[in-house]
Amino acid sequence: MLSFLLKMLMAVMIVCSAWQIGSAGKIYVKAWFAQQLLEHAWQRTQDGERNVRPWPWADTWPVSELVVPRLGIRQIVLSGDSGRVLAFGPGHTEASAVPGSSGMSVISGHRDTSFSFLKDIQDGDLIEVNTPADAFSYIVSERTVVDQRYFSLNTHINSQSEALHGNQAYEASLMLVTCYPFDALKAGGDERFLVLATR
Amino acid sequence: MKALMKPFMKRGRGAKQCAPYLIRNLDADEIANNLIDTLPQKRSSITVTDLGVLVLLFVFWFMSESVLAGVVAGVVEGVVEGVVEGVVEGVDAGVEVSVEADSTERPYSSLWLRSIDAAEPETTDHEASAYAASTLETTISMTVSGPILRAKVRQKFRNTTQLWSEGIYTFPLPEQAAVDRLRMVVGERVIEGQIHEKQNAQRIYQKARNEGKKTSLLSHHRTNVFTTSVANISPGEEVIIEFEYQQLLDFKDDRYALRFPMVSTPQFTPPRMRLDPAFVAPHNNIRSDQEDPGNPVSITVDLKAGFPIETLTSTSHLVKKDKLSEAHYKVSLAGRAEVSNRDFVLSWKLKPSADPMVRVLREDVEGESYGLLMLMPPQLSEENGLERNERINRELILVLDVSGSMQGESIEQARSAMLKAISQLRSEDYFNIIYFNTRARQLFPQSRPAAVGNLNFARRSVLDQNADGGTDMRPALQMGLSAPGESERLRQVIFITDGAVSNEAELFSEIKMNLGDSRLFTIGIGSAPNSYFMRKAALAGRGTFTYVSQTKDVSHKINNLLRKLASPSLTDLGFDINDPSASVLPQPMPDLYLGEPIYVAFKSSHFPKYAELSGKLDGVPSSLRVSLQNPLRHDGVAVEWARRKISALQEAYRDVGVGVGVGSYSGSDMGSERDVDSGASFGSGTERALSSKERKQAIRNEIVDLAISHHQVSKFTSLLTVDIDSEASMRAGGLLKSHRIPANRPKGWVGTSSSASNGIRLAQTATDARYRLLMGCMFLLGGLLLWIGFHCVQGRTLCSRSC
Repeated sequence: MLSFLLKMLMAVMIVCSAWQIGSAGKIYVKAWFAQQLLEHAWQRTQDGERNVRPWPWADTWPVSELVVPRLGIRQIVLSGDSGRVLAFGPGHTEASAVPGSSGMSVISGHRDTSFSFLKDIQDGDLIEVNTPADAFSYIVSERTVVDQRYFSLNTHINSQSEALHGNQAYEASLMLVTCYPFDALKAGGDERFLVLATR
Repeated sequence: MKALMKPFMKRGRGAKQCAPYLIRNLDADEIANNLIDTLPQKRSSITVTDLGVLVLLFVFWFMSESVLAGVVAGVVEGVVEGVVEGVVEGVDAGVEVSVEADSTERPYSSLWLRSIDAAEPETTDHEASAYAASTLETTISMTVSGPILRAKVRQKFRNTTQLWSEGIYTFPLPEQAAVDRLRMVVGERVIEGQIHEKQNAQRIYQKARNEGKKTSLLSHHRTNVFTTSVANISPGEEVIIEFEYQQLLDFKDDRYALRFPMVSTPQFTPPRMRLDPAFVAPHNNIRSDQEDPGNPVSITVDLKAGFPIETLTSTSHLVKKDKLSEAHYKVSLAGRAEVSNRDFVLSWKLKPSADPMVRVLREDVEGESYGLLMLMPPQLSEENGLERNERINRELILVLDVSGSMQGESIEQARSAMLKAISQLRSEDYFNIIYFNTRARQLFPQSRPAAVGNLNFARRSVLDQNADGGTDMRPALQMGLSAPGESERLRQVIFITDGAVSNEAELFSEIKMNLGDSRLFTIGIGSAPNSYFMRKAALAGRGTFTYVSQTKDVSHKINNLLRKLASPSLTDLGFDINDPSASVLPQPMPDLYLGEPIYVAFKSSHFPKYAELSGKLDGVPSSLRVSLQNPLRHDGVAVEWARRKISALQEAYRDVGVGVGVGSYSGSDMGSERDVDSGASFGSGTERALSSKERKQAIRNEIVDLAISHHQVSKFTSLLTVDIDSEASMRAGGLLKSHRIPANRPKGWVGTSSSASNGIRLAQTATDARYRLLMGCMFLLGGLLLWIGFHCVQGRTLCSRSC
């Protein structure tokens, strides 16, 4: 009887461990697997198709390609930045500017999958964004940590380009967003790490 | 779908049931007892069969999860994760793993373009109070000298965190304030601010900020809202930002009024505006109602009225008054430091005999003479104004804002204002009522006479109004100003609102376009109305602005306004000092109503001896010669002239843009009516020749030149300080944390608060992967340890038996 209990205990331990490791693995595999499918979709996008869904039931599609040459990073950016989209790769906030156009483009990614490389980024790094039509390069000019509860993108980050607002639209810039601190265990923190890059 | 979910659900339940065993088995003695009874042959069956099954199960589940991830992502994930989360937490508690399980699940919607009124899930509000990043204390000392007020505002930023930080605070100032001094105090040192073109200032600030130097920037954010930023405050340090502004005080109904706004009511932006790239989202960084209000403010006023004061009161705060002489008082807040959640209002009345009809101030700066004339036209004094024109045929349209921002005290005040106005109607008047929030609705399809039946119907409808929804003023303005009515009557539109809108420019042009012969009067309600908007709206509507701060003031203020509306007014005012090169402001001059003085500021190469004032009193031309001999020498006259000039130019600039931006009519049409002529070179002659872009650029340059020569903050200029000597290397490339200091909720305001404002919310950008990996490893380790322990104990038992 007691040996049965012990067996149960061990079984439970192993099941729980499998759960945890499995769901962690799921997150990584999803991100990895999706990038493979996205690769194909991106090729088709570059060939002139619009809104290519990487798998038939996807609610997102590749919009551009993000390259950081120094860190050897190349990722395909999806449209939208909902939790579901970000599980597959970095997402472009639809309300922000289209990369390359005037205004700020915002791309968000998970700190532990797609955007884990941001912790190594430095001021002056080159970031390239390739859209089907064109290629744009940005230089990292600023890195900041903000509390998202007290932060709204329109108001703060654009304040430096706000002077221009009287005349023109904002200057073209790129913002990469991920969670901070990088080594936090749990999701759901309020701090965000922002990387601002200008052309 | 159900079939897919089943295994997960089942496993979840199973694990939950196991949890009690888990806890019990942790008892060391019990484990030992259990182990002694275990038979050796059962050991192998556990290893091979059970483990094999488990591994298979795990592999199957893992594969199904990852491969089918796309299919089930949307629906299943939520359910599964909910179950798993629950299990994990239950187990956590049992094993006492010291990883904090955060139960606050944040919604995964990351991009919020939210309206103030939309109910959003707020999960973090209760945490916000714990978030004390940088704190701020404000000390304001004001000096009043005659009609001119000069205030010194000290903002003390204190960094309470362990990181280097940047403090950003957005705050309102009185709408006629001219900000012209900035100092940064770091320890013993005082660094004087310089005026720069705004973009330039921003660039220098950013550079100094990135280099780790102490720097501060004071810039105009929108309308009467300003922002101070201080970068590189070291942990535990205090930096004081001190700026000065000047303001000309309002004089109305025999009283001077001083109003200092402490918070601005969150503004509503109609949805279509929000995606407009030219639109700057308002700063609504408001503390939630669970949070303790912060940002203490203390105010002292040194009041030198110049003439004996009869009464001195504050309707907003409890004040301590020290009388130094008949004309000189010192006023301070009785409670030491007040919470900045409502506007500070102080008003005083001069003794009647001492109250002069004319006051002339003069200042000479760099060879130019600046003058300020304050004059009470004799025709509009009370004795002869009232009776004569008792019979103006008029149509009164009352427009009431019933949007969400009016909730609480504001709507109460507004209701009593409406009831008062209704009761003041004379039987020969026509009237109508318009209520608006996101939509506008009329009480009557057409204005009706103020007969008893109609009045009662109106009263009942007023009492039925509740504040809810967004604020879209455009349809209401259109309806109020251009509704078909009695053509022979003078239409007076009374607009009662808190002005919580941010598409002001659009509304001003709407007013100008639809005004015709109507007059628009605005009444500001609530503890923090947007008086910039209402003053300008009244100016554009050729009416006046009245501010009501308290419910008990309503009756008195509405009475005054309605009496004013019923009595003659001085229109088409002209002011001539016989000098073609002189610059006189305001231009054109607003209509004058009973109890209001004219304020004119002018710049001339030589100070004039007299001025010719002309106007139409109820359509009859009349004129008046005012002597400007023996002016009082006074500081700040030039500042006032420059402020008026800059403000007029900014309006001209805005109007050029509106024609293009809104696209419903051309810029030149609306400009001709009132505002564009402020810059002599932008008259109608050159207007058509230049493209709107060039005109904008020209006006912009003029504003920048003027603001820089007068050292004033404007739409295009900012004040900047950089501490060149600061130890730049201290921060050494470390991160700088940016803190936006939240504003308090306006008193009595009960709208849905959000600590995050309009604009793009940042995405939720982390997963639980690491946490889960850690947990998994821990369980695995636990299982392994148990396994080893099991072996050891059994080995020993066998050994002892055989021996």
